[in-house]
Amino acid sequence: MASAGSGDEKAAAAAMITLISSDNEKFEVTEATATLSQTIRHMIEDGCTDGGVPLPNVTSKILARVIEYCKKHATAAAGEEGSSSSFSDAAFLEVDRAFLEELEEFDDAFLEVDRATLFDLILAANYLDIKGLLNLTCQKVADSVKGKTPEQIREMYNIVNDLTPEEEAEIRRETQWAFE
Amino acid sequence: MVLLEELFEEVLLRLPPSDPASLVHAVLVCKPWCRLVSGRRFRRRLHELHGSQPMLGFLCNLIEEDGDGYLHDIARFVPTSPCFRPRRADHRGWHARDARHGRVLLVDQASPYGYDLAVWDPITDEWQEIPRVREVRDPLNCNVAVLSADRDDCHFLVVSVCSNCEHISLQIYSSETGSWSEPANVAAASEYKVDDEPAAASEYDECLTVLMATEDSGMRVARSKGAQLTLWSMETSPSGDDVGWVIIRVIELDKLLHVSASSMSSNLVGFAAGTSVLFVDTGDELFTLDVESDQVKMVLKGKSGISVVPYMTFCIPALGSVTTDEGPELDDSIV
Repeated sequence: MASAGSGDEKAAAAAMITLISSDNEKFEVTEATATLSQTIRHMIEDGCTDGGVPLPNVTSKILARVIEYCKKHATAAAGEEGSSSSFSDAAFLEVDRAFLEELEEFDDAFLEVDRATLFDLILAANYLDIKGLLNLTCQKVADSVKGKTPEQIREMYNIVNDLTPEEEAEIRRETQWAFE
Repeated sequence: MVLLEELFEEVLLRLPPSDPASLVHAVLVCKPWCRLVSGRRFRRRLHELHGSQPMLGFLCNLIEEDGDGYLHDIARFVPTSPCFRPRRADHRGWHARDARHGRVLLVDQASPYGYDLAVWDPITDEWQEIPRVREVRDPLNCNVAVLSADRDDCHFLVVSVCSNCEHISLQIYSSETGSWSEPANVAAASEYKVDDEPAAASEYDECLTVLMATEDSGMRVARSKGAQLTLWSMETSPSGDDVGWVIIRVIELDKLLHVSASSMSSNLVGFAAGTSVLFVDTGDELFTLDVESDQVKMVLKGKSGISVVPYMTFCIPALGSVTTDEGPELDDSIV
């Protein structure tokens, strides 16, 4: 039983999925990497990934970045599982901490992109339903909004103010403490 | 380069709840953001994503002398988040009894029989007086709490529980109907006597106890005597048959708070629900103490004999007319 089980796992780990970007570029990834996306996970479960998975909303430039993220995080997840059984507690904690630090460094470097790319990554993370990536990219935008005035936020993100002066005055009156 | 409106929801949900001003600034950016933040879906998701609400401050009940030598009860809001200050901090003549879902319940100290109550929203400064609770015959003990009546926190309930030697009576006020329910006798008082206290309770006769509910619905008891604070946890035996109290930590408060043990008469005066933060009054200073991280902060100086009510909420500005015109709110059923 045990050997049959691990054989299945090996087969699953080696299974490759082809992702096709909107500009028709093909990317071969392992199933472990691809299934960080809940959208693709469901497609695999429904058995409709033969002949590749077309992703008409994601360009090759963005898909390459998304795959880079998924590869790193899939490895980290696998590493965590493996280490829990093969190390003593102290060694496990040590490895765990090293993993987390490395992952954090990777995430920080990953976010060093221009604003347009960041928005495209958010759209892709949302469409592919990759929770970690959506959290990471949205937090980056939230951090940039934090502590800014409404005028600064509009300017940063090209947003047109459609509130009437009366409406704006009403909100400011109700929330006076936030502007002192 | 414009991000879809529904993805800005993901961004705005991640503004730090302990910095409520940032959400207010976001609301003033444009109408779609304004509608987004004031919608019920946003409120629900904020709870899902962040879990327990941040503590924006606490109310402390003080007695202060005025210029003519008269003493006054004051319920004072003391901010603990650098980003929030209520428009009015002091309510003279009132005593804070409870705070939940962004509302504070206060009792008029001057009312001799029954009690006059008011509900205050520190964020909007809305003040609502509640009709007097019908008097309970010879009450020995009365307690009141304010609860949210619906998912949107639009309406609230005030629950009043009074007990005398024979009865526990319960009444509920609804802000929607503006009236109190008929009093209901819930039980004979003796049935609810607690007799399973932490072990060696007699040793702690002289000390103060705070009951803490933990995030994983466990129960803890914190007790202080002199400079020593003991934490107990309610544990179930491996067989699942017995429930008992186990000491999980003893904290030397004088070392943690850097005060001299001899001069110290520590009092536990409160606990922030859903967190591990206790309020410790050393007689001269009031501290918050996080029993998980040992983080200590002096929050009030030079006041004694006070009681505190922590104020915890997600600050979502009340936005009246601006959000009710045109444009659909995102459907609650999308996610």
